[in-house]
Amino acid sequence: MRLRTFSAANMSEAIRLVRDELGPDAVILNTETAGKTVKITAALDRAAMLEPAPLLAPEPMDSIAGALDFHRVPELLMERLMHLAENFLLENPRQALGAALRARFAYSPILARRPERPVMLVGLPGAGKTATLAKLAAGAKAAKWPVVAVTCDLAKAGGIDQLATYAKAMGITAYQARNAATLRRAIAAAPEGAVVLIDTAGSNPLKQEDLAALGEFAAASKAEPILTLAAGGDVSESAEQGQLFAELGCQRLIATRIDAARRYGGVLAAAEAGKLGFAEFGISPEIGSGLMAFGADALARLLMPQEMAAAPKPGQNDETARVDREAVDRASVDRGSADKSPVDGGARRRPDPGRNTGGTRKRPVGSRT
Amino acid sequence: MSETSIRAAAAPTDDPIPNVIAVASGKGGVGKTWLSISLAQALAKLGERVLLFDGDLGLANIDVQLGIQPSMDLGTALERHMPLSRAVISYPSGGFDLIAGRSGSGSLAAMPINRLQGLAAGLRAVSGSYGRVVVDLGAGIERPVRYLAGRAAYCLVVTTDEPTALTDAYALIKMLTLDASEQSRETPLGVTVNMAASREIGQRTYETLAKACDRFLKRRIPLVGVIRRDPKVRDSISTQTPLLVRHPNSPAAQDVEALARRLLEVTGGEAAPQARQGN
Repeated sequence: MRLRTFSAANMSEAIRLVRDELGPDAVILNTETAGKTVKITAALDRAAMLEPAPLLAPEPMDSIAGALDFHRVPELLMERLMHLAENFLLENPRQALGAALRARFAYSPILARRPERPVMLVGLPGAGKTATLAKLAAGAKAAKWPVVAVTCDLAKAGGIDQLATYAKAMGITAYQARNAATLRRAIAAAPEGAVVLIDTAGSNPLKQEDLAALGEFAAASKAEPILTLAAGGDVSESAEQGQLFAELGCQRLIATRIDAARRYGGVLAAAEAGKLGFAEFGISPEIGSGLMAFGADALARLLMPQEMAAAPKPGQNDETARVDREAVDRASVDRGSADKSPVDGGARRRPDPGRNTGGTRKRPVGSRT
Repeated sequence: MSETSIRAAAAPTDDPIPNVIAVASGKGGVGKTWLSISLAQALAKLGERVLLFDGDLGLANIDVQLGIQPSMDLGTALERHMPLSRAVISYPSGGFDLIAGRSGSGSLAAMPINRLQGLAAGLRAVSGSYGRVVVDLGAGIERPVRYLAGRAAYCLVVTTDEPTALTDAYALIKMLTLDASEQSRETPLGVTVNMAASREIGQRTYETLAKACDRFLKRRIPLVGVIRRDPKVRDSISTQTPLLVRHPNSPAAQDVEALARRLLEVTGGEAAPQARQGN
């Protein structure tokens, strides 16, 4: 509404001013005579009942909030992401969320380039360390990098057997290390340029001796400890794990069992609490194809499938895990059809080439960029 | 998780809360918070059990005006997923209870709709313990203001005779009217003119606004009271003491008490939960 007050010597003059200024649709709201002056308050509101008011209609930020709520993302992180997303409301909520996730977290897949330091997988018992190691080994092998696997997990029944089975299937060398000294020897014996992958016993981050043992192995091997964290865990517990393992020296995390969970607040909470970057994501149990690198857009896709129009259903990850057929054909993994799927080799921060791809471009396992 | 927790997703209802009186203005600085406090106290003096709720989600300052430092506030209750009843503090010298807001909490100001619905559910739950709940809304016509105004059984629109205040009050009434057409329920509105030089001038100010609403929105908005300009108001605010405590016989105090009586008339003596729905 445009509201104006007009003063003139007489009423007709004042009304003329109103018509001149506001046009024929103006409404006189008030007239007043003060001495020899006439004062008219008039207003115009052409759009009075025209514009719709979508008070309850979902706004872009609502769908982001809804998605983050669904995943039980902790309040403070949610607030941060919402704040970031607000600045990026470009085309659709999911892209805005992707931009927020890109700004908030780092993405650095282990197999984006050949790891020079040994990689040591740490985490709670049952987090999926051994299977993840096998997947990393498959990826490294696909990139034609020599691989050496070492397990420090001598306590678990069948722990060595599990790794040995994987190693045999892939034709890689596997060692077991009883203590820091044997671990150091095993690494020293690895061929030049080999990717050294170290499996550890499941640790209880609340137990000082578990952490001390891990620290000893990490120091002996000069390895980069990487948190292996199962998706779908309690958000607060996951956040604490992220923090505790960060204190141990972790800078990246691999989220496993993405396919077996629907809510990823725990994964985000762990990354946030420990300031951890995202390495690969475990998206299926298959060794050859079960590990994928996600960039921020792919992560947003995971968190917000189909714009989160409805609550995600089981199987929602099909889209995320969608396989780029061309890449499959190019994949150099040569061990049966089950293994012939790609792992995103870290084509991060690329614009989404189209709606039908899984966010970041897929590349064969470990291909060099 | 408690049913009043902000994350509660169970079938949010957008029905009005029967005993809530929202105080809104469009423009800031027209004395909305002061009026909410004074109104809460006046209603309490009339025998109502009153809760004053600081619904100015971004720039809450009831606690500042009252000179208190609440140990709990709305922001904390929401963060910790507590029922809002946990954030209630009593204010004995005013004779009412209150839920303080948190100033500068941008997250509250930018609340998405599901959170607003959760907040309204929390307010609904806590309002059951009171005869009247006065909600001091933020300035502006953003969604949180409109949403909470729409949840009230009655919305009091505060203006002054300044053209900007009139224009913004009109804008608020317009938005609430447009929202109402979407929700198929119109929140009853009333206007009060604050800081009026006299009752007559206040009446004229009201008529200006009412005529605009009538002509442009085809909506008649009644006047529920004129509060006269009174230097005692400034004095009570600067000493952080409610006017009805510090200057109970001042003109503005009398006007607020008259406004409270009128509000009880127009909203019904009893807060009958179903009485005003769907009209």
